[in-house]
Amino acid sequence: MTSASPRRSRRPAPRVPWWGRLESRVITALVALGILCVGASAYLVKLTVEYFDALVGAAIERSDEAADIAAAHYAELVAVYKEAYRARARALTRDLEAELGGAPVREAGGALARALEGEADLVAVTLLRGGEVVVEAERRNLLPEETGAWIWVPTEPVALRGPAYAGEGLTLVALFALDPAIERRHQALGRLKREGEHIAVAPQAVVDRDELESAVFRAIAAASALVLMVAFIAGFLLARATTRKVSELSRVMREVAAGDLSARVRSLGKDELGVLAAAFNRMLDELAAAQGKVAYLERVSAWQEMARRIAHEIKNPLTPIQLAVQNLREKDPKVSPRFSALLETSAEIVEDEIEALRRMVGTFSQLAKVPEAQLAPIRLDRVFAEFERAYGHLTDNPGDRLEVAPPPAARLLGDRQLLKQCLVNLVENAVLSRRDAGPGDVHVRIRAHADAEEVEIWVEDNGPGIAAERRERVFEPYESSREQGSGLGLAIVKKIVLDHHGEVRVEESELGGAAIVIRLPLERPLAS
Amino acid sequence: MNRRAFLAAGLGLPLIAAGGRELLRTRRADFVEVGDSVLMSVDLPELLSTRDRDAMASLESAFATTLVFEIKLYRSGSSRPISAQRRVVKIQWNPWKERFSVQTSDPGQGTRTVYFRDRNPAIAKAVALDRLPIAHSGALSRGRNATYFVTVVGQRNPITAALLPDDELVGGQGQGSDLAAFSRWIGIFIRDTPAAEKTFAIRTTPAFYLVER
Repeated sequence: MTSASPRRSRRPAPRVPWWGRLESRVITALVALGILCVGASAYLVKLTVEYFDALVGAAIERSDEAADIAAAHYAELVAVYKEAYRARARALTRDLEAELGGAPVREAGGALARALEGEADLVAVTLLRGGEVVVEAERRNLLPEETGAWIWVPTEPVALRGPAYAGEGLTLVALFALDPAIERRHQALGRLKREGEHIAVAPQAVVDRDELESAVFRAIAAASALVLMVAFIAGFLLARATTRKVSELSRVMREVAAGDLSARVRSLGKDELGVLAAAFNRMLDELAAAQGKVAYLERVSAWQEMARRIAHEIKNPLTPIQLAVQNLREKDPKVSPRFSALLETSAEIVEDEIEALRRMVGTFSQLAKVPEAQLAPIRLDRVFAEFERAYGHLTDNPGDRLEVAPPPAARLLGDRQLLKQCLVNLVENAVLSRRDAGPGDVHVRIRAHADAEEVEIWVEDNGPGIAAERRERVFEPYESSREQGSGLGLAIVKKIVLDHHGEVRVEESELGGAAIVIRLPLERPLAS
Repeated sequence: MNRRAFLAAGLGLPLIAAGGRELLRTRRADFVEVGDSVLMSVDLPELLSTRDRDAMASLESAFATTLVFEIKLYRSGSSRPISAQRRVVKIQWNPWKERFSVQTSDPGQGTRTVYFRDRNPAIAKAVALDRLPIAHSGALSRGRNATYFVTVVGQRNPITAALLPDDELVGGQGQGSDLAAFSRWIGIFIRDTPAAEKTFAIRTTPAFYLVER
């Protein structure tokens, strides 16, 4: 694309930073939100743990109080048991006194044995005198106390007080056997009391309640940190996926702002940003096309102005010069044949050049006189019909052929006269191109087809065609490959087409030559 | 930090770990060589202080109090113990017979029980390591160049999970897998597991040596 309009100096577009502000803001917002949620949850969990810990603590305190009360009861129970044993020992003593009835104490063995038989938990009964055993009866085959099978409880010595034994210093000591379960239960109570503040969290791990509470807080904090980390990574990925698209759009916008209209946004998917990017690319396409059209029209307008001035400056003196030459020729005195021949030759040369200048002025005038298009609703078939009527006879050569296919029933906003001039210019250009290529019949075909929004008019010939590298340049004013060509025909065509908000391009024709394709917008979409 | 302090710190760290994070206190001890044995005598009254109201209340409530001593012998400058042994002492008030019993168990040496009518002598007996054989003299080098010291880590009523019933396990049997997983997660963050109701650790000083013969 050539450009005559001044363009801003191209500066390299700044690179999109790897870590953009938007990215950091989005991630910061996500992480802040995550911290808020996780922090609130963690705080609630902490309160919950503390609440239940307080409840457990209160329960343990009550349990401790119960254990203390139970321990006091145990002491009272022991005292009661021992008092009962003492009472039973006294009763045994009184029974022994009554049974002996004054008999010698060495005969008390039988009575003691019978007492043993009568008392199931009585292990031994001993009569002592001054610390020495006088008579003793004991239960046989009992496991010793050290085995834990029994608790042996001795009573305090009870003095024999009968008249027969007064003054002998005799005392009775009873030994009772107590079920050790009472002791085991008490020790179990002590163990429970001692371990009330400890909790088994694993088969071989016991932890203090306070430490467990701290561990729960640490575990929740670690879990929260993990959740935050996951949230950060997820937020990073999500934010990056979104902000990268924004950054890409920003990058292209900066390049466009720097003057590079060829920059385009890469495909950004099908979400809203992707649609925005596609729309932005379309806008850039249209902007580039519009800029090209404006530049072209500016150039053509400049050429038109120059052509009008040249035509005016050259055309005005031509007629006096021609009249002067004719006057010279008429005033020839014919006195000298050589002079007359020289005059005639010079006059012919001057008249030929005047004619050449007239033709050139004519072409300049043709360009200068291209009027502004007066757009009005027109039918395409009418344009074609009027063109056929005016230009149905292509050339005098019977082999030359102009083929006009019936156009679709399309309506467009256009200037009928100018569109006909387009067709005339294109057909004349086609004929001249074919003739320049050498002998042979000229075949020109005009056809049109429409889609929902536009109509394309194809003007094809069997000429030499237009090389691909020249296809843009052929529409520039005074650009022609023919020796006799003015280089204005296609330029005028393009100006008219652009005035109709259309486009014109060069294609290859099925006829072997070039195809000039005019695309014009329809006035309204076709029904079907 | 001088070399000796550095060495002491290096030696102390594993001992601290073994002693339930208790700092090692220095304590003078008596060492005598009798026959082919080295005997040590040292007291740890801090382990069961008569000023400890809870401990005394527990004792007088006829709850048994168990003292466990971990005794290790080191050669100065080494962190590997030459010998290690364990003594378990159980002190208990017997309200039926109205006496204190102090039951001492040494591995391989059976159990010995002594009785006291009063509390304080019973406690003094329980917290004393009296003429405790700590090594065979043949296993030790003689002379001033081979000095030794002993560490004693005493625990009162040590707590082990084995003492607790299985159904007291948090996240244990019969509970959901989520709770079990959460319990394992919590377990990762438990830093300090209590070893005992009270722990007291000493390091004997000065170091002793066996005289040349």
